[in-house]
Amino acid sequence: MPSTGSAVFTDRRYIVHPAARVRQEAFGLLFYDTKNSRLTFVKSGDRLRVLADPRGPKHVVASREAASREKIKKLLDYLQGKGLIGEI
Amino acid sequence: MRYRPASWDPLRAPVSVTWEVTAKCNLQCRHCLSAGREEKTPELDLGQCRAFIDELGRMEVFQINFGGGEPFLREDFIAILAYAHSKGITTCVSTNGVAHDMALAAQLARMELLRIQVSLDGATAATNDAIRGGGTYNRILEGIEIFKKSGFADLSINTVVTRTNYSEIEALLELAKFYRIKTRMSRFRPSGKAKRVWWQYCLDREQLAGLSEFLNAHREVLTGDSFFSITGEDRRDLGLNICGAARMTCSVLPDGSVYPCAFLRDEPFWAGNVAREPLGVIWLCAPAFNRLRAINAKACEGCRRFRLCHGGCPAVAYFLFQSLNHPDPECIASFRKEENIYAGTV
Repeated sequence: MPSTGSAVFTDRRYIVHPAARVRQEAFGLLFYDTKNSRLTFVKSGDRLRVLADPRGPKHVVASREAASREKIKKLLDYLQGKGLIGEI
Repeated sequence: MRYRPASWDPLRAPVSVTWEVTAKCNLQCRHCLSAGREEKTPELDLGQCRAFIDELGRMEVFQINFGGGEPFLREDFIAILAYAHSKGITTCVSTNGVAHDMALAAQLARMELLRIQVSLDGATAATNDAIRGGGTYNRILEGIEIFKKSGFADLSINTVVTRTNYSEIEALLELAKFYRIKTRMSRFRPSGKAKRVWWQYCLDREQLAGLSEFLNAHREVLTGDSFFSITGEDRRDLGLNICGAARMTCSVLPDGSVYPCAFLRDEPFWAGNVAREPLGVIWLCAPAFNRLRAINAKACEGCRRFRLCHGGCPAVAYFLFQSLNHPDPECIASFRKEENIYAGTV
């Protein structure tokens, strides 16, 4: 495991809020908020991935790629701030 | 049919699909975008509708915008809604609001992923009824009251802004506030029966400029993607800045025919039929969609408003000029430019 300072790039997962939808696109992730139909385009390329389990909620996981750590952390913080994902 | 993939890299699926589930209607609105088709238009049966919703679920389409005709005239419409919700798809239904009772409204109020838009085309009976038919104003308000009494949460009135109701847009907003519901204003576009009355109902230049100011002043008024041509800086963050047809959305008719949007459904824009081929294939490969994605309104590129509208709505340009590579004819920037030319300032 990397140090706690870069814990976001471990196997830590983020659960997608029950009122949000997300799908993988070529540019990254596309979120949709069912409460207001707002879209959020996340230009993360393949550094954020959606994990779908048909039996449960979707998860978002981050790449361990060191070069983009700060950028990814900002994106994840932004998505958490908007209530689209939550850390588990 | 053989398809060729687009060179442009589109979303892998639409964000939303506008689906006219029936052509049947109990009103005869003068500006109806859908009318002009026979009421006997074939419809996908419930099994086909469910199969199509399965496909939308697989594609991860987020929202279905149901319209018609009047969707609630389909006896299986509640089943269609429930099936879409079971796939996690949000639905928004555009209804004329005159055929609802408490039992139906109470059933709809229990659907968490449902939004309802009730069409109302004037803040007075005289204005609304001249467009939607005699006696409809009171019936629509009764319908809104039924929804409110049922506890339905996400309700809005939707007004197509025309020359005849423009003077009532403030009053429409007040009326919605009275009922504590949202206001949505849509653009009048030349599609269906509206082609016949375009010049009678289209806004004049002063009205377009006034509507732009009104919308800038009232960010709470929803517009969907209608008003690119007059969007102001103050609304930049409220929605898309580019036409979503074939990029974000597409339109499906009662028989399953697919078009880029509800306002572009002349023969050249036909993209396929969901009863015969998967929407996923149509979305990525239909020549009609790829043509639309390739539109480049060169005349607009130098305009300071380009980032706000990217050329605006191609449907109006197509109707008036039979060209997709033409700036939106209702663009307020082009009006101002012409006025400056006449004034000798350019």
